[in-house]
Amino acid sequence: MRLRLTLVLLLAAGAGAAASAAGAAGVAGAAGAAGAGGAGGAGGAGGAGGAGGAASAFAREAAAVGVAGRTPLPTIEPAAKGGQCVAEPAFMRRNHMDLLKHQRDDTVFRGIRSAGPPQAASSPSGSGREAAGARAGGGARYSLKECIACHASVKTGSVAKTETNFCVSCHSYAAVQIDCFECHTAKPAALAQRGAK
Amino acid sequence: MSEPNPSEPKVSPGRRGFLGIAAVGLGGAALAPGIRLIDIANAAQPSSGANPAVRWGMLIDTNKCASGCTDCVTACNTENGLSGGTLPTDSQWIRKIELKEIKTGRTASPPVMCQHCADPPCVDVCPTGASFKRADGIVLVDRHSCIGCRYCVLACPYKARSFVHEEVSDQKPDAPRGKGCVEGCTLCVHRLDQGNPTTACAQACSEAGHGAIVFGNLNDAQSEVSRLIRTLPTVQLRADLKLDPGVRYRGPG
Repeated sequence: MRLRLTLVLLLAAGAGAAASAAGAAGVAGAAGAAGAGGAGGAGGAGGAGGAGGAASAFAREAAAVGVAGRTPLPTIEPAAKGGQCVAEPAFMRRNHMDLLKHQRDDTVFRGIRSAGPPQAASSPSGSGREAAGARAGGGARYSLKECIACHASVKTGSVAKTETNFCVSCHSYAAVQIDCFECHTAKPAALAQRGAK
Repeated sequence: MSEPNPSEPKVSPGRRGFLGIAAVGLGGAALAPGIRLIDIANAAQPSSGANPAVRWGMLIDTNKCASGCTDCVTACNTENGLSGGTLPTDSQWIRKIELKEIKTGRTASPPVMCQHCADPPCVDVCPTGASFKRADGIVLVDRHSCIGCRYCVLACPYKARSFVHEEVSDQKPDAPRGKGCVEGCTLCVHRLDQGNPTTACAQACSEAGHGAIVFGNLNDAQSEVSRLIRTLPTVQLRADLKLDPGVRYRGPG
Protein backbone atom coordinates (compact mmCIF):
# COMPACT_ATOMS: atom_id res chain seq x y z
CA MET A 1 0.00 0.00 0.00
CA ARG A 2 2.73 2.38 1.02
CA LEU A 3 4.73 1.52 -2.07
CA ARG A 4 1.75 2.25 -4.30
CA LEU A 5 1.22 5.62 -2.67
CA THR A 6 4.88 6.50 -3.15
CA LEU A 7 4.60 5.60 -6.83
CA VAL A 8 1.58 7.85 -7.24
CA LEU A 9 3.40 10.71 -5.54
CA LEU A 10 6.46 10.21 -7.73
CA LEU A 11 4.30 10.29 -10.85
CA ALA A 12 2.59 13.44 -9.66
CA ALA A 13 5.92 15.11 -8.90
CA GLY A 14 7.22 14.08 -12.33
CA ALA A 15 4.23 15.57 -14.08
CA GLY A 16 4.61 18.81 -12.14
CA ALA A 17 8.31 19.06 -13.03
CA ALA A 18 7.60 18.40 -16.70
CA ALA A 19 4.97 21.11 -16.78
CA SER A 20 7.21 23.75 -15.26
CA ALA A 21 10.10 22.75 -17.52
CA ALA A 22 8.01 22.89 -20.69
CA GLY A 23 6.15 26.10 -20.00
CA ALA A 24 7.77 29.38 -19.10
CA ALA A 25 4.64 30.24 -17.14
CA GLY A 26 6.51 29.42 -13.94
CA VAL A 27 4.59 29.26 -10.70
CA ALA A 28 1.11 29.83 -12.07
CA GLY A 29 1.53 27.44 -14.96
CA ALA A 30 2.73 24.60 -12.70
CA ALA A 31 -0.09 25.14 -10.28
CA GLY A 32 -2.58 25.20 -13.11
CA ALA A 33 -1.30 21.98 -14.62
CA ALA A 34 -1.18 20.13 -11.30
CA GLY A 35 -4.45 21.48 -9.91
CA ALA A 36 -7.51 19.33 -10.47
CA GLY A 37 -9.66 20.44 -13.41
CA GLY A 38 -7.62 23.54 -14.11
CA ALA A 39 -9.51 25.40 -16.87
CA GLY A 40 -9.18 22.73 -19.56
CA GLY A 41 -5.86 22.32 -21.37
CA ALA A 42 -3.83 24.54 -19.10
CA GLY A 43 -0.83 22.20 -19.45
CA GLY A 44 -0.54 22.62 -23.20
CA ALA A 45 -0.85 26.38 -23.11
CA GLY A 46 1.98 26.79 -20.61
CA GLY A 47 4.29 28.36 -23.18
CA ALA A 48 2.08 31.37 -23.71
CA GLY A 49 2.88 32.80 -20.30
CA GLY A 50 4.80 35.89 -21.38
CA ALA A 51 2.59 38.45 -19.67
CA GLY A 52 4.56 38.72 -16.44
CA GLY A 53 5.09 41.78 -14.28
CA ALA A 54 2.43 43.80 -12.53
CA ALA A 55 -0.52 41.90 -14.00
CA SER A 56 0.69 39.01 -11.82
CA ALA A 57 -0.03 35.33 -11.92
CA PHE A 58 -3.75 35.79 -12.42
CA ALA A 59 -3.36 37.58 -15.70
CA ARG A 60 -0.80 35.03 -16.82
CA GLU A 61 -3.22 32.21 -16.09
CA ALA A 62 -5.93 33.99 -18.03
CA ALA A 63 -3.58 34.57 -20.96
CA ALA A 64 -2.59 30.92 -20.87
CA VAL A 65 -6.14 29.77 -21.42
CA GLY A 66 -6.75 32.45 -24.03
CA VAL A 67 -9.61 34.40 -22.50
CA ALA A 68 -7.90 37.71 -21.82
CA GLY A 69 -9.57 40.72 -23.27
CA ARG A 70 -13.17 39.56 -23.56
CA THR A 71 -14.03 40.15 -19.92
CA PRO A 72 -12.19 42.63 -17.73
CA LEU A 73 -10.12 40.76 -15.15
CA PRO A 74 -11.30 41.20 -11.58
CA THR A 75 -9.52 43.70 -9.41
CA ILE A 76 -8.60 41.92 -6.23
CA GLU A 77 -8.40 44.02 -3.11
CA PRO A 78 -5.14 43.51 -1.24
CA ALA A 79 -5.51 42.16 2.29
CA ALA A 80 -5.92 45.00 4.76
CA LYS A 81 -3.31 43.54 7.08
CA GLY A 82 -0.69 43.09 4.38
CA GLY A 83 1.97 40.47 4.97
CA GLN A 84 2.09 36.90 3.76
CA CYS A 85 -0.86 34.60 3.09
CA VAL A 86 -0.79 31.02 4.43
CA ALA A 87 0.37 29.86 1.00
CA GLU A 88 1.44 31.35 -2.32
CA PRO A 89 -1.37 33.41 -3.91
CA ALA A 90 -1.31 31.33 -7.10
CA PHE A 91 -1.70 28.15 -5.07
CA MET A 92 -4.46 29.67 -2.98
CA ARG A 93 -6.38 30.71 -6.09
CA ARG A 94 -6.46 27.16 -7.37
CA ASN A 95 -6.81 25.29 -4.10
CA HIS A 96 -8.46 27.44 -1.44
CA MET A 97 -11.71 25.47 -1.75
CA ASP A 98 -9.96 22.20 -0.97
CA LEU A 99 -8.03 23.70 1.91
CA LEU A 100 -11.17 25.21 3.40
CA LYS A 101 -13.17 22.02 3.01
CA HIS A 102 -10.50 19.92 4.66
CA GLN A 103 -10.18 22.42 7.48
CA ARG A 104 -13.94 22.57 7.87
CA ASP A 105 -14.24 18.85 8.60
CA ASP A 106 -11.26 18.95 10.96
CA THR A 107 -12.83 21.81 12.87
CA VAL A 108 -16.43 20.62 12.99
CA PHE A 109 -15.82 16.95 13.74
CA ARG A 110 -12.44 16.93 15.47
CA GLY A 111 -12.51 20.32 17.16
CA ILE A 112 -9.23 21.55 15.63
CA ARG A 113 -9.71 25.26 15.75
CA SER A 114 -6.51 27.02 16.74
CA ALA A 115 -3.50 27.24 14.48
CA GLY A 116 -0.72 24.81 15.18
CA PRO A 117 2.95 25.22 14.28
CA PRO A 118 3.38 26.21 10.62
CA GLN A 119 4.00 23.29 8.31
CA ALA A 120 7.05 23.28 6.08
CA ALA A 121 5.13 23.29 2.81
CA SER A 122 4.27 26.47 1.04
CA SER A 123 5.52 25.59 -2.43
CA PRO A 124 2.79 25.73 -5.04
CA SER A 125 3.39 22.29 -6.55
CA GLY A 126 1.36 19.19 -5.81
CA SER A 127 -2.30 18.59 -6.28
CA GLY A 128 -4.72 20.46 -4.08
CA ARG A 129 -6.50 17.68 -2.26
CA GLU A 130 -3.34 15.82 -1.23
CA ALA A 131 -1.58 19.00 -0.27
CA ALA A 132 -4.54 20.09 1.82
CA GLY A 133 -4.51 16.78 3.65
CA ALA A 134 -0.79 16.96 4.29
CA ARG A 135 -0.68 20.56 5.41
CA ALA A 136 -3.73 21.10 7.55
CA GLY A 137 -2.41 18.52 10.00
CA GLY A 138 -0.72 21.15 12.12
CA GLY A 139 -3.88 22.87 13.33
CA ALA A 140 -6.29 25.34 11.85
CA ARG A 141 -4.08 27.06 9.28
CA TYR A 142 -6.82 27.35 6.71
CA SER A 143 -9.65 28.63 8.85
CA LEU A 144 -12.32 30.66 7.08
CA LYS A 145 -12.40 32.96 10.09
CA GLU A 146 -8.73 33.82 9.54
CA CYS A 147 -9.30 34.38 5.81
CA ILE A 148 -12.01 36.89 6.66
CA ALA A 149 -9.92 38.53 9.36
CA CYS A 150 -7.25 39.43 6.80
CA HIS A 151 -9.22 39.94 3.60
CA ALA A 152 -12.25 41.93 4.76
CA SER A 153 -12.55 45.19 2.84
CA VAL A 154 -11.57 48.34 4.65
CA LYS A 155 -14.59 50.12 3.21
CA THR A 156 -17.37 47.60 3.74
CA GLY A 157 -15.78 45.55 6.53
CA SER A 158 -16.76 42.42 4.63
CA VAL A 159 -15.37 39.90 2.16
CA ALA A 160 -18.68 39.46 0.36
CA LYS A 161 -20.84 42.54 0.64
CA THR A 162 -20.16 44.25 -2.67
CA GLU A 163 -18.82 43.12 -6.04
CA THR A 164 -15.42 44.55 -5.29
CA ASN A 165 -14.96 42.68 -2.01
CA PHE A 166 -12.30 39.98 -1.86
CA CYS A 167 -14.31 36.78 -2.32
CA VAL A 168 -16.99 38.16 -4.61
CA SER A 169 -14.61 39.88 -7.03
CA CYS A 170 -13.25 36.56 -8.31
CA HIS A 171 -16.35 34.49 -7.77
CA SER A 172 -18.52 36.79 -9.84
CA TYR A 173 -15.86 36.76 -12.59
CA ALA A 174 -15.74 32.96 -12.54
CA ALA A 175 -19.53 32.66 -12.06
CA VAL A 176 -19.12 30.35 -9.09
CA GLN A 177 -21.68 30.74 -6.34
CA ILE A 178 -20.33 31.03 -2.78
CA ASP A 179 -22.51 29.32 -0.21
CA CYS A 180 -20.20 29.97 2.77
CA PHE A 181 -21.87 33.21 3.71
CA GLU A 182 -25.35 31.76 3.91
CA CYS A 183 -24.31 30.70 7.40
CA HIS A 184 -20.87 32.17 8.10
CA THR A 185 -20.51 35.87 8.72
CA ALA A 186 -18.50 37.68 6.08
CA LYS A 187 -17.13 40.14 8.62
CA PRO A 188 -14.21 39.77 10.99
CA ALA A 189 -14.90 39.30 14.69
CA ALA A 190 -14.33 42.94 15.55
CA LEU A 191 -17.05 44.06 13.14
CA ALA A 192 -19.58 41.25 13.38
CA GLN A 193 -22.73 42.51 15.01
CA ARG A 194 -24.79 40.74 17.58
CA GLY A 195 -27.46 38.55 16.44
CA ALA A 196 -29.73 37.93 13.78
CA LYS A 197 -33.19 38.53 13.24
CA MET B 1 1.61 -5.86 -0.12
CA SER B 2 -1.68 -4.63 1.23
CA GLU B 3 -2.85 -8.21 1.98
CA PRO B 4 -2.67 -9.24 5.63
CA ASN B 5 0.29 -11.42 6.50
CA PRO B 6 -1.08 -14.94 7.19
CA SER B 7 1.72 -15.66 9.67
CA GLU B 8 0.71 -12.67 11.78
CA PRO B 9 -1.65 -13.62 14.63
CA LYS B 10 -5.07 -12.07 14.22
CA VAL B 11 -6.34 -9.97 17.11
CA SER B 12 -9.61 -11.56 18.12
CA PRO B 13 -12.54 -9.33 19.15
CA GLY B 14 -12.36 -10.79 22.64
CA ARG B 15 -8.73 -9.84 23.06
CA ARG B 16 -9.35 -6.37 21.66
CA GLY B 17 -12.20 -5.88 24.13
CA PHE B 18 -9.95 -6.93 26.99
CA LEU B 19 -7.27 -4.49 25.91
CA GLY B 20 -9.87 -1.71 25.82
CA ILE B 21 -11.04 -2.50 29.33
CA ALA B 22 -7.46 -2.68 30.55
CA ALA B 23 -6.76 0.74 29.04
CA VAL B 24 -9.85 2.21 30.73
CA GLY B 25 -8.74 0.73 34.04
CA LEU B 26 -5.30 2.24 33.66
CA GLY B 27 -6.80 5.66 32.94
CA GLY B 28 -8.00 6.01 36.49
CA ALA B 29 -4.97 4.35 38.03
CA ALA B 30 -1.78 6.10 38.98
CA LEU B 31 1.06 5.74 36.46
CA ALA B 32 3.62 7.05 38.89
CA PRO B 33 3.21 8.85 42.19
CA GLY B 34 1.22 11.99 41.45
CA ILE B 35 0.81 11.36 37.71
CA ARG B 36 -2.34 9.90 36.23
CA LEU B 37 -3.34 9.36 32.61
CA ILE B 38 -6.22 11.77 33.08
CA ASP B 39 -3.76 14.55 33.99
CA ILE B 40 -1.82 13.99 30.79
CA ALA B 41 -5.05 13.97 28.80
CA ASN B 42 -6.30 17.16 30.41
CA ALA B 43 -3.03 18.95 29.72
CA ALA B 44 -3.55 18.57 25.95
CA GLN B 45 -2.85 21.59 23.76
CA PRO B 46 -5.86 23.56 22.50
CA SER B 47 -4.95 22.83 18.86
CA SER B 48 -5.12 19.07 19.41
CA GLY B 49 -8.92 19.10 19.15
CA ALA B 50 -11.62 17.13 20.92
CA ASN B 51 -10.10 14.96 23.61
CA PRO B 52 -11.65 11.49 23.93
CA ALA B 53 -10.53 11.27 27.57
CA VAL B 54 -12.83 14.18 28.46
CA ARG B 55 -16.58 14.14 28.83
CA TRP B 56 -18.02 17.61 29.20
CA GLY B 57 -21.13 17.98 31.29
CA MET B 58 -22.83 20.20 33.82
CA LEU B 59 -24.84 20.20 36.99
CA ILE B 60 -27.81 22.54 37.36
CA ASP B 61 -28.97 23.23 40.89
CA THR B 62 -32.69 23.98 40.65
CA ASN B 63 -32.71 25.24 44.25
CA LYS B 64 -30.50 28.16 43.22
CA CYS B 65 -32.34 28.80 39.98
CA ALA B 66 -34.82 31.63 40.52
CA SER B 67 -38.06 31.84 38.60
CA GLY B 68 -37.88 34.76 36.19
CA CYS B 69 -34.08 34.86 36.06
CA THR B 70 -32.89 34.50 32.46
CA ASP B 71 -29.20 35.33 32.84
CA CYS B 72 -28.11 32.03 31.26
CA VAL B 73 -30.52 32.40 28.35
CA THR B 74 -29.39 35.96 27.65
CA ALA B 75 -25.73 34.95 27.81
CA CYS B 76 -26.34 32.11 25.36
CA ASN B 77 -28.17 34.39 22.94
CA THR B 78 -25.38 36.96 23.08
CA GLU B 79 -22.62 34.37 22.70
CA ASN B 80 -24.19 32.64 19.73
CA GLY B 81 -26.00 35.52 18.07
CA LEU B 82 -29.54 34.25 18.63
CA SER B 83 -32.47 36.65 18.40
CA GLY B 84 -33.83 35.86 21.86
CA GLY B 85 -37.35 35.32 20.49
CA THR B 86 -39.50 32.60 22.03
CA LEU B 87 -41.93 31.90 19.20
CA PRO B 88 -42.13 28.31 17.96
CA THR B 89 -40.17 29.43 14.89
CA ASP B 90 -37.38 31.07 16.89
CA SER B 91 -34.23 29.20 17.82
CA GLN B 92 -33.84 28.57 21.53
CA TRP B 93 -30.67 26.75 22.48
CA ILE B 94 -31.45 27.08 26.18
CA ARG B 95 -34.83 27.89 27.71
CA LYS B 96 -36.23 28.24 31.22
CA ILE B 97 -39.14 25.95 32.07
CA GLU B 98 -41.55 26.35 34.96
CA LEU B 99 -42.27 23.20 36.95
CA LYS B 100 -44.77 22.67 39.74
CA GLU B 101 -45.17 19.54 41.77
CA ILE B 102 -48.94 19.19 42.03
CA LYS B 103 -49.06 17.34 45.35
CA THR B 104 -46.75 19.65 47.27
CA GLY B 105 -46.94 22.89 45.30
CA ARG B 106 -43.15 23.14 45.07
CA THR B 107 -42.07 25.11 42.04
CA ALA B 108 -38.78 25.09 40.15
CA SER B 109 -37.51 26.97 37.12
CA PRO B 110 -34.53 25.13 35.64
CA PRO B 111 -32.95 25.81 32.26
CA VAL B 112 -33.16 22.99 29.73
CA MET B 113 -30.88 22.64 26.76
CA CYS B 114 -29.27 19.84 24.76
CA GLN B 115 -28.40 17.23 27.39
CA HIS B 116 -25.43 15.93 25.36
CA CYS B 117 -26.44 12.30 25.79
CA ALA B 118 -23.90 9.51 25.68
CA ASP B 119 -26.37 7.64 23.44
CA PRO B 120 -28.03 10.49 21.57
CA PRO B 121 -31.23 9.57 19.70
CA CYS B 122 -30.74 12.54 17.35
CA VAL B 123 -27.55 10.90 16.09
CA ASP B 124 -29.30 7.54 15.68
CA VAL B 125 -32.02 8.94 13.45
CA CYS B 126 -30.04 11.47 11.37
CA PRO B 127 -30.17 10.29 7.73
CA THR B 128 -27.08 12.20 6.61
CA GLY B 129 -24.72 11.88 9.55
CA ALA B 130 -25.02 15.60 10.26
CA SER B 131 -25.97 14.94 13.90
CA PHE B 132 -22.92 13.53 15.57
CA LYS B 133 -21.22 13.15 18.91
CA ARG B 134 -17.71 14.50 19.26
CA ALA B 135 -14.94 12.56 20.97
CA ASP B 136 -15.40 14.65 24.11
CA GLY B 137 -19.12 13.88 24.37
CA ILE B 138 -20.51 17.07 22.81
CA VAL B 139 -23.46 16.43 20.49
CA LEU B 140 -23.41 18.75 17.47
CA VAL B 141 -24.97 19.35 14.07
CA ASP B 142 -22.70 19.58 11.06
CA ARG B 143 -24.58 22.20 9.10
CA HIS B 144 -22.66 21.37 5.95
CA SER B 145 -24.44 18.02 5.78
CA CYS B 146 -27.72 18.87 7.53
CA ILE B 147 -30.60 18.76 5.05
CA GLY B 148 -33.13 20.21 7.48
CA CYS B 149 -35.37 17.12 7.64
CA ARG B 150 -35.98 17.71 11.36
CA TYR B 151 -36.05 14.02 12.24
CA CYS B 152 -33.71 14.83 15.14
CA VAL B 153 -36.13 17.47 16.39
CA LEU B 154 -38.75 14.74 16.69
CA ALA B 155 -36.37 12.20 18.19
CA CYS B 156 -35.03 14.41 20.96
CA PRO B 157 -37.00 13.86 24.20
CA TYR B 158 -35.74 17.18 25.60
CA LYS B 159 -37.02 19.43 22.80
CA ALA B 160 -33.48 20.69 22.53
CA ARG B 161 -33.23 21.14 18.78
CA SER B 162 -34.46 24.18 16.84
CA PHE B 163 -34.89 24.70 13.13
CA VAL B 164 -33.83 27.94 11.47
CA HIS B 165 -36.84 29.05 9.47
CA GLU B 166 -35.65 32.37 8.11
CA GLU B 167 -32.52 33.80 6.62
CA VAL B 168 -30.01 34.92 9.20
CA SER B 169 -27.61 37.82 8.93
CA ASP B 170 -24.84 39.19 11.11
CA GLN B 171 -23.92 35.89 12.70
CA LYS B 172 -21.14 35.55 15.22
CA PRO B 173 -17.87 34.41 13.64
CA ASP B 174 -17.75 31.45 16.03
CA ALA B 175 -21.40 30.53 15.64
CA PRO B 176 -22.30 30.24 11.97
CA ARG B 177 -26.00 29.56 11.44
CA GLY B 178 -28.38 29.82 8.54
CA LYS B 179 -31.76 29.00 7.10
CA GLY B 180 -32.69 25.38 6.55
CA CYS B 181 -30.53 23.75 9.22
CA VAL B 182 -31.28 22.30 12.62
CA GLU B 183 -29.28 23.62 15.55
CA GLY B 184 -28.97 23.28 19.28
CA CYS B 185 -26.72 23.93 22.27
CA THR B 186 -23.07 23.35 21.36
CA LEU B 187 -21.78 23.56 24.95
CA CYS B 188 -19.91 26.61 23.62
CA VAL B 189 -17.64 24.27 21.71
CA HIS B 190 -15.69 27.17 20.19
CA ARG B 191 -14.71 28.33 23.67
CA LEU B 192 -13.68 24.87 24.80
CA ASP B 193 -11.57 24.33 21.69
CA GLN B 194 -9.81 27.63 22.32
CA GLY B 195 -8.99 26.54 25.86
CA ASN B 196 -11.66 28.49 27.76
CA PRO B 197 -13.07 25.80 30.05
CA THR B 198 -16.53 27.23 30.67
CA THR B 199 -19.74 27.90 28.77
CA ALA B 200 -21.42 31.28 28.36
CA CYS B 201 -24.42 30.20 30.48
CA ALA B 202 -22.32 28.80 33.33
CA GLN B 203 -20.08 31.87 33.31
CA ALA B 204 -23.03 34.28 33.36
CA CYS B 205 -24.72 32.34 36.16
CA SER B 206 -21.66 32.37 38.38
CA GLU B 207 -20.80 35.99 37.55
CA ALA B 208 -24.32 37.03 38.56
CA GLY B 209 -23.73 35.26 41.88
CA HIS B 210 -26.30 32.49 41.43
CA GLY B 211 -23.85 29.63 40.98
CA ALA B 212 -26.62 27.35 39.78
CA ILE B 213 -24.72 25.98 36.79
CA VAL B 214 -21.43 24.13 37.28
CA PHE B 215 -19.69 23.08 34.09
CA GLY B 216 -16.75 20.71 33.85
CA ASN B 217 -15.21 17.41 32.86
CA LEU B 218 -17.27 14.51 34.17
CA ASN B 219 -14.35 12.10 33.60
CA ASP B 220 -12.02 14.03 35.87
CA ALA B 221 -12.67 12.93 39.44
CA GLN B 222 -11.03 16.12 40.71
CA SER B 223 -13.27 18.56 38.81
CA GLU B 224 -15.87 20.49 40.77
CA VAL B 225 -18.75 19.05 38.80
CA SER B 226 -17.56 15.49 39.47
CA ARG B 227 -17.12 16.21 43.16
CA LEU B 228 -20.63 17.68 43.38
CA ILE B 229 -22.41 14.87 41.56
CA ARG B 230 -20.50 12.38 43.69
CA THR B 231 -21.64 13.96 46.95
CA LEU B 232 -25.08 15.38 46.14
CA PRO B 233 -28.21 13.54 45.04
CA THR B 234 -28.77 14.51 41.42
CA VAL B 235 -30.93 13.22 38.59
CA GLN B 236 -30.75 12.93 34.82
CA LEU B 237 -33.87 14.05 32.98
CA ARG B 238 -35.85 11.08 31.64
CA ALA B 239 -33.31 8.66 33.06
CA ASP B 240 -35.75 5.89 32.10
CA LEU B 241 -34.74 6.37 28.46
CA LYS B 242 -31.17 5.31 29.35
CA LEU B 243 -29.60 7.99 27.15
CA ASP B 244 -27.07 8.93 29.84
CA PRO B 245 -27.27 12.74 29.51
CA GLY B 246 -24.20 14.78 30.36
CA VAL B 247 -26.37 17.39 32.09
CA ARG B 248 -27.60 16.55 35.59
CA TYR B 249 -30.13 18.37 37.78
CA ARG B 250 -30.29 18.77 41.49
CA GLY B 251 -33.78 18.89 42.97
CA PRO B 252 -34.94 19.66 46.51
CA GLY B 253 -32.62 18.71 49.31
